[in-house]
Amino acid sequence: MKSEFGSTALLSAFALVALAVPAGAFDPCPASAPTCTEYTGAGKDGSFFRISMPENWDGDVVIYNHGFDLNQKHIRGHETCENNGALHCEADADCGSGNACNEISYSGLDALLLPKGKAVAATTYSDTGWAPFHSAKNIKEILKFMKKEPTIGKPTRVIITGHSGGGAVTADATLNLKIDGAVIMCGAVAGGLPTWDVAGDVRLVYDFLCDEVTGAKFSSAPDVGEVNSADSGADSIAMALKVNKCFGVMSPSADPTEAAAQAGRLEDFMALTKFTGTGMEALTAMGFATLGLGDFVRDPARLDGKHIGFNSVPDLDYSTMGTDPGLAAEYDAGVKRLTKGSGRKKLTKASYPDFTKGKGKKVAYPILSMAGAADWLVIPPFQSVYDRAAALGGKLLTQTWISSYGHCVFSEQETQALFEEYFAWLDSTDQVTSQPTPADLEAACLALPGGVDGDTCNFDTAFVNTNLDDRIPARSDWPPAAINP
Amino acid sequence: MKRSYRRSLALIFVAAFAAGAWWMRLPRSPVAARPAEGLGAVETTPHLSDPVLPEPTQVQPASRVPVVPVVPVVPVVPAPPPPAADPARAEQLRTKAEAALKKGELEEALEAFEKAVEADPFSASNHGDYGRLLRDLTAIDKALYHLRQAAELDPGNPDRWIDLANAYYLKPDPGKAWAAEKRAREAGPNLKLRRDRRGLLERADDPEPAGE
Repeated sequence: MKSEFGSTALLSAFALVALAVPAGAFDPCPASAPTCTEYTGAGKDGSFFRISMPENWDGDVVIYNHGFDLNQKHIRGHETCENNGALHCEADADCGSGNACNEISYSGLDALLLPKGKAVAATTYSDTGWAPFHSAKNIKEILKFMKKEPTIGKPTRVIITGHSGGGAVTADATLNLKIDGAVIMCGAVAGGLPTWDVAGDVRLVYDFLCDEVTGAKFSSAPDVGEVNSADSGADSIAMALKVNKCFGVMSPSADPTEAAAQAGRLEDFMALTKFTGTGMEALTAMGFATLGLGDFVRDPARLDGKHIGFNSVPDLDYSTMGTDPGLAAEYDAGVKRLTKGSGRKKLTKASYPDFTKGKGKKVAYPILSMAGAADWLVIPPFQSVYDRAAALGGKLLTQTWISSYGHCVFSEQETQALFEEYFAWLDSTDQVTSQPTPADLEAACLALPGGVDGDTCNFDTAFVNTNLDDRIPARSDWPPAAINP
Repeated sequence: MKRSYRRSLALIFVAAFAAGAWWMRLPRSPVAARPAEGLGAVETTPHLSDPVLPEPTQVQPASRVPVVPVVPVVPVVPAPPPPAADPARAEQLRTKAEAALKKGELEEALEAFEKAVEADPFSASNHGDYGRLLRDLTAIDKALYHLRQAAELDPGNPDRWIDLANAYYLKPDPGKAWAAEKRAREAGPNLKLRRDRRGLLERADDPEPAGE
């Protein structure tokens, strides 16, 4: 006890010095919970984590999972330099010109949840990009640390949450970890094959339209994806410049004939894929379809180069795809055909939404999900797969929709309402009768300070989702929940 | 075993304390070394991520040693001193970059903006323009770095924070976006914002883009 006090006193003295740094430093604690205690560390699996404990911990921990990230330099400790993981930093400036200080972000959840007595934690994962291959182990490293650390102890309840790719990690946790709750935000929850078949088909459409355009062709096989280097920024730029050559979304060609051809190809791309984003967002979508796919397919620790394509034998019928039947028929005749890749089995094993067996069958806690009705990246039909899987397994799930444009464009009030309603549901003695509706969340949002209809509260209670096969033809090896009954 | 572990901990933190005090006396970032430009020149509001110094009784350890402590608390090598600025050359390079952008020569524009930042790393405009181009080219992390620099150099300019918020929305890290949006509103108390077709923030008094 005495020696514990001794080291705490020293730590506090150091904290005073460390906190006195100039602008640009990360706050160890949010203003809403200035007396939190922060722990940082590394797992044995190559991941790093950060944990923040409130002053009066109620025993719950909310583990936040970040979105898709191809930057290898983010698999570093909290507040260490991206250019040198051995350097501690408080701000970008500590890492030398042009180098960022790495933060393991809670995306604002610490400010919302620490004052409620909840601990908040986050992991970097041990993988870049599509993390569900090992993310369950990464999360376990946090829990192992908490349990062993005498000043924390085993949490009473573990609630998993995350945005986007972190939603995929959250969905995976519901199926592969023994946890006590899940809140999914704009999650890519359709499972490995449906998610990456959509990306793969986006790439096939691009190849169909752009392979003959000078400077626009990707050299990689569409179901293997592009090579990622240690400089994810340079990779993204190279990809975007290629896509711009085909579509002219950033800068149309100076040649009016070619500029018109670029606009035509973009229009065809939108028509075939039913892409709901802008031309600029097509760049991002193509980043997922090329670099994002290549990152895990080529990784020896994940698919080790095993292809994941599958649109032949029997040939998939693309003739009804998109919004232009004439164009779709042309595409069906001209699309590259890929035999079933050997990587599909492993991708299935890593992420497969099914609540009728295994750990998923045992889920006895409610799941709350918030997604964008106009999300152009994590498209609404992805939610339909997970929602149907939960329904097939008889699980309690409330799906809510936000009408804002963009991917994961949620306000602070919407997020706060989501967690307040979730904990009220989780804490209730009868979770069936207390299941919140989307209208309940909307009312909770509007009741918050700053909650304004159509501004900070954009719940769309009337949105009706579509099935995934409305976008691309279903594959026979998809989970049952992904196939339209 | 446990006792020696604790003793080691104490020694590490004594060293950390001393090194931390030494570190505070080193030359800091370009941002700290030169006053902000433009609207931010008289800015006094706290930075987005300025640490709030708690009362001494509320101080908690900022970091505790984990089971597998791999992150040294002390910087091994001090950051290099701020580079010298050449605003005139930076201006030439910016002009070149803007001309390249107008002609649709994106690679040339990127190169010229990057060199402009190198020539004058204290210019919020250099960082801001380069950051926006990087953002549009989907290099979000690089964009965030430069947009953070721009906001720190010119904190009184709400547009810097709007740019930063938008890059965080694209990341996506909505929590960081909310914080940057708050800074935009603090910098421009009468600022009215709306969302564009991409879900990104823009000034409500900006003209609607064509085709929307």
